[in-house]
Amino acid sequence: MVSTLVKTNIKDWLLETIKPEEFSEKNLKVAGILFEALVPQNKIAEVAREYFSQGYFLESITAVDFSECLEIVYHFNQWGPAKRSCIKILAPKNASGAPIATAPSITSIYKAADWFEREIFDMFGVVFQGHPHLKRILLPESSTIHPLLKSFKGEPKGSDVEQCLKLLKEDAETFEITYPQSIKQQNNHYYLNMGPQHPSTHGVLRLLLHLDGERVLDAEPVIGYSHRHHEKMMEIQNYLACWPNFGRLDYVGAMSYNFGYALLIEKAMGVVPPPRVEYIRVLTTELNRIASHLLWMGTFLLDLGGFTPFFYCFDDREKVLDILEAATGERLTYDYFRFGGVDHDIPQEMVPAIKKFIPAFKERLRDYDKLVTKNVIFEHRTKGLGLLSKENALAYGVTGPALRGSGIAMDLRRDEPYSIYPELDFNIPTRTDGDVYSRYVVRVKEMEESLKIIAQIIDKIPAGDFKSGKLPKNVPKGEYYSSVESTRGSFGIYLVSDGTLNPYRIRLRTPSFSNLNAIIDMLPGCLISDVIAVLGSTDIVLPEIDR
Amino acid sequence: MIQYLKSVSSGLISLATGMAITLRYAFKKPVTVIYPKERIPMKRFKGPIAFVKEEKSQDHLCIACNACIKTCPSRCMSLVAAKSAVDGKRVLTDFKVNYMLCSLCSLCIDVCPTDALKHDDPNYDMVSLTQRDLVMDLLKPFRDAGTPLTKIPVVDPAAPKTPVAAAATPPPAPKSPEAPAAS
Amino acid sequence: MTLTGNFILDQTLTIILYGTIVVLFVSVNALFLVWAERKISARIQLRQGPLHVGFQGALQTIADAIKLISKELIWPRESDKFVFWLAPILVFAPVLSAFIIIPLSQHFVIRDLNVGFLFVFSLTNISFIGIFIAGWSSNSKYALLGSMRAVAQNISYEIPLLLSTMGIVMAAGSLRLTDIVAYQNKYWFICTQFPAFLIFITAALAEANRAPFDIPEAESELVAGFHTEYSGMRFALFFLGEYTAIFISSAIGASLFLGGWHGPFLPGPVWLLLKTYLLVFIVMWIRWTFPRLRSDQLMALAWKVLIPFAMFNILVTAILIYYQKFFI
Repeated sequence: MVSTLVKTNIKDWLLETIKPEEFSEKNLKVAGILFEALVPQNKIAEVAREYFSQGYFLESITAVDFSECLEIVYHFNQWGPAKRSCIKILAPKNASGAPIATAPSITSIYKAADWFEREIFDMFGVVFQGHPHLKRILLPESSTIHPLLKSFKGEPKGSDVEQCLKLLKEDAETFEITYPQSIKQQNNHYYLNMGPQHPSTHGVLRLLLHLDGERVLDAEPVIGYSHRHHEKMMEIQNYLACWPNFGRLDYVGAMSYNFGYALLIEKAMGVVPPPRVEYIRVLTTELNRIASHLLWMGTFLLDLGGFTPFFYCFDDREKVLDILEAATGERLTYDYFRFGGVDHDIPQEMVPAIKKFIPAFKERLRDYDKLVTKNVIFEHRTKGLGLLSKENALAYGVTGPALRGSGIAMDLRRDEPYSIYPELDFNIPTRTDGDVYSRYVVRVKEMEESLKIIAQIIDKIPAGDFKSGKLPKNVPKGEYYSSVESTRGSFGIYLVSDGTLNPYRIRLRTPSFSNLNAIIDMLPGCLISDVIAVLGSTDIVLPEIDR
Repeated sequence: MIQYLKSVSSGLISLATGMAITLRYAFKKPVTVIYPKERIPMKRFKGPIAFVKEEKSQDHLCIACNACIKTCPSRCMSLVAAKSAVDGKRVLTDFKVNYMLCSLCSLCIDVCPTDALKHDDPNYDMVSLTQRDLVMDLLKPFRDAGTPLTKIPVVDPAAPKTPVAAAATPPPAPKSPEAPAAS
Repeated sequence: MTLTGNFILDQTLTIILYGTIVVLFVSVNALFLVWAERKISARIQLRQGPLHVGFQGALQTIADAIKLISKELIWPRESDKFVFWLAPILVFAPVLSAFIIIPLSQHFVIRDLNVGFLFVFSLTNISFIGIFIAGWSSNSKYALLGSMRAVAQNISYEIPLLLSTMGIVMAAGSLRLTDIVAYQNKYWFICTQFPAFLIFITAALAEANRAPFDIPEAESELVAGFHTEYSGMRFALFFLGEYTAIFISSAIGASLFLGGWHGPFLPGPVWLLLKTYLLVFIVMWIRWTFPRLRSDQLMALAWKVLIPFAMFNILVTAILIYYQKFFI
């Protein structure tokens, strides 16, 4: 019998071949990762190649600033049941100053690493050797600061603000586009800056399009216009005060981001919330998911020129928001969850309101199906467009409905179960085409599934406390990763705690960041009208990308 | 050819269904709420931060512990406390919330050890022409009502450290609005 | 000499009179159409639409018009000034002249031309030149893209528009609109030429740059397309031109397919207006139902669907007419 090439377990492979300097096994339930390993700098490319060949996607790259060296942290995860592993390399700080540190780039292996490495360069000043066009991504290109370094004082004082304004002004005056290498000026080709002020870029996104007539030859998203630096903001305040930040990352689907942070701190503190809390959380999150998808659907159809469905979607969304408002007191940027509980108990009239909403919304979904999904113009505008292959989805680390539209049933609610999701019966809708239409259908189906979840738990909410009593004062020292399925994909929070009142480092792995990155490979060959459709179908929220 | 005709006819049918739906919706009742004339009753609304009025004493419950100030993510609260001239305890003399900065997270309400804070009653159309109006003095209603806690004489922090004498003499010229009320 | 002098004077006065009437009607009609569009779209979208200015917001459009008139006319720095100035006029004026041939009743028509509606179609094509130079002279990429789309769209849709009417011309045996309408005293052409009617409506929508064929101005793609750089009254002229074009197309459609002035009880002009507004309503209803087509799909629709069907329709009509003659 000819032995086929059996892939060894990645852990064994690491231990045998790479021989990491440090290795420790962790618990997925507690720390959010299976194991972490510190490997030498020169081996990281080899490790990444092995991970890629075993079908792992790059969830995030980030860095942590310790006083004498920077630690660069890679999170790899797999489609299907979560098998997150954390690989670290050390980048010692340069004594002479510039560059602050250097590390090898893995952009040739993972396309997603491109933006992640640019972000680290931006925030920490780490120069990645071998990166094709290392430049700032979130901050303006003229800025000189690396804000996530601990030596950078968090709160800008008066002079710093002035300096910043001055830099921004200079940036605007001496603005010069540096095109990526792939874009070359040719005769009768031209460039179009779609955005940052454009009706259909869903916020302040600039798409740099290289066009031949109306056909896109190359596209590059330029982000960072609504950058507020949530990560630094959270470093300089205590754990409790971080709550509002999570309502303002993805303001459309804020509840799942609340969920992520609640899970993270509860994991770290070892707090188990009361059962009523779990039910309330799932209920509000799923309602919020419906609201978020409805907003997406409305604006997506608006992008395609269908004005009327936009209003129908917003009508439905208002109903959801009315229900959520009764519980949370807010309509958009929810700060509803608390450590071990929720801010406020749900009111009595919420249950009948939801029961009234479910059949009405099902009726509406049927109308959308007739009005939009089966419409011949809509089908022609969306089918076979903006293809996202499985290979690209893996290379870019695409998650969420965009990935499920490409035929991979990855949903952290099932793959890395949290809260009461394991007890619930729901499907993960997938489509195999990987085009705009399948992403649309997946989201519409997801609304139905959310409705199913709500219908299941609405009658079963147990009585009890909506807050757990005593909480530990501090988060224990250590590293934690929590991940939830947000409306747009898997949202991860990586926390490095030093045991003090403030988080030492919080890294937000936002799904839209990777999903938007993947658009680079979807756009070439499209027309301008398709650019809008493809961009709309990725369902991005800019504040979440820019953080 | 048949395929072509089929696709054209099915396309036409789908367009007709769409038009039937929009026509049906055209005869539904509009959902618009003409806002200033009509209002949706607020079920839960996070109004500006205010002091809870305790039923028995009709007074506020703040003990000036600074927990809310430390927690506030927006740093929109400010609190001034002074030493009581009577028993040397901390007494609240000024509590202001800058509603322009408030992110309505209700964390201050959460952390308050005496449950002294709450969200004020629904006031949806809070509008002002100047920013000053949105800086709220939480003690004002209590001072206006003249509740006991606002009447405690305090040691003037600016005065030289002669507590007994300072307590006896009235405070110097009013610098801030609360000074006359406190005296 | 005096005779020709009188004749010229007479003609001039007539032109001025008719011109004034037409311009007045166009303005008032456009105001009404904008209001109607807002109300119709609002009802379809579960909204109320304009409410506060006048009864049911009827005067809202006037308020908007005043706003537009009082706005600054912005000259883009890099624009080609003369052409930029010319474009809105070039879009609006030809549409106005189309009123010349609409027969309100048997005798009430400004000029009963024997080339009939061909005249209108050839005139409205001039407005596309206006659209093209509007986009070109703005020196803006979005505007240029919009005008490029407009030209391509216009060229494609002229053909089905004309082909769809040919069946009627063959049946009525005349291009003159009065003859065509008079021919419909027994039955309307919509009964015999229903596919042609659908093609006509589709092509007319495309000619008027209306959704779902509004690709030259596709606001979610090209910001505002060819009139991105226009402001104030110049922008309003484009707007006015669009609404008048819809009205003209609908009036011609009503004359060709819905029997023009024919109808019981009411006088002819009222019937024509009613039918025209019915078509305008359908046009608006279509606009607020469908998403926009892509430019290449728009071309495909014209060349692969509309033109073959129109040709086929002509063929069938021709055969029927021939056999009709043969049998009778």
